[in-house]
Amino acid sequence: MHLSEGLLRPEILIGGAVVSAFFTLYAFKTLKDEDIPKTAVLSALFFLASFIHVPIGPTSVHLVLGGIVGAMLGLRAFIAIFVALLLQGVLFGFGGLTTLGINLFNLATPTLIGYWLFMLPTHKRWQKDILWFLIGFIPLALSAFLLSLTLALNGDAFMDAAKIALVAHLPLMFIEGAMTLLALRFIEKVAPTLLYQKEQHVSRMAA
Amino acid sequence: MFRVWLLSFLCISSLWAHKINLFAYDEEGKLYVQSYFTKSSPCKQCVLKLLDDNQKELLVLKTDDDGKASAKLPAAEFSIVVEAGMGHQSQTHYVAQSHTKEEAKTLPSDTPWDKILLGLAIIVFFFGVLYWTKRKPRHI
Repeated sequence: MHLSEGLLRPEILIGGAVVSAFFTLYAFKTLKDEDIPKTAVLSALFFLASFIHVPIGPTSVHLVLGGIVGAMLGLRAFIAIFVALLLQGVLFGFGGLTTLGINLFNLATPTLIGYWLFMLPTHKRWQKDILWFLIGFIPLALSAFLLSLTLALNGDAFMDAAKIALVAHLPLMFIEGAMTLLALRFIEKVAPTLLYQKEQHVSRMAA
Repeated sequence: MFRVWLLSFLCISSLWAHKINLFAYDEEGKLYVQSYFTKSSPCKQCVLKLLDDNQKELLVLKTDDDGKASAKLPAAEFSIVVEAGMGHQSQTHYVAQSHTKEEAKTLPSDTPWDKILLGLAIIVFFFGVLYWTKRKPRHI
């Protein structure tokens, strides 16, 4: 999921950095102090997820968990993922500083879909479960698509890598969907107040 | 003198022609072997035997038409014997560079816990400072 340094064309790097910088700065500006602890915890979760590797055939992919970060933070996911990616790049060499912008764009933008899915009104248990599964599945699918698109836009030489990147993440989409569903059910059971923004949103919509 | 030289050359050439070369390496617990007589003459469908120190067979393989064969490392150290029929045989002692699956289970974890903990500490510090700068003033 992390694009390395020295790989991409400058226009892709600059484009990704500009868009990501805009969203991140806006998220920092609108961040409220009461939301900071939750943002920190989810940033730590995103940071740790990269160390959990799932063996798939001859290769292995690591967890991303962007969907749950987006569902619980909305636009503030940009801050959580920015901090986590920065530390992964500096401490472990995952990605890098020049690719931070495009990596942030590829990983954080799809999490907004996770937030939108999370905010959809649900009336039955099974509807909620399907939505919560999709919160894990769809953002990762979009991130894998954006990663493949970035590689494809980088030149014909990267077309094979683009296809592999998309296919390799296909099993992980189901794994992340299931993990997100279980995680949200667990949060709902032990700390339902963490999901309060949905209730607020739904009551606002009803009013 | 010339005839002696020519005869010697032919004999040596004949020996070279039947010399079996064996090239082996391992990567991520998998052994790769290539056997050949000359560069353009691979040892096709030759039997490869992997033997332990007591000459007990650990594994028997057969090379493909390129003279290549591969398998999971059966042990950390063993002998590789290649048999090309007609009494042609070559043997080499091999010490694996990577770990077998069984060995890997007992290896200490290579997870960089120190860096992970440092990363988590930086996250706590960063958001702590952010909270401190963003918090609303409390009026008593």
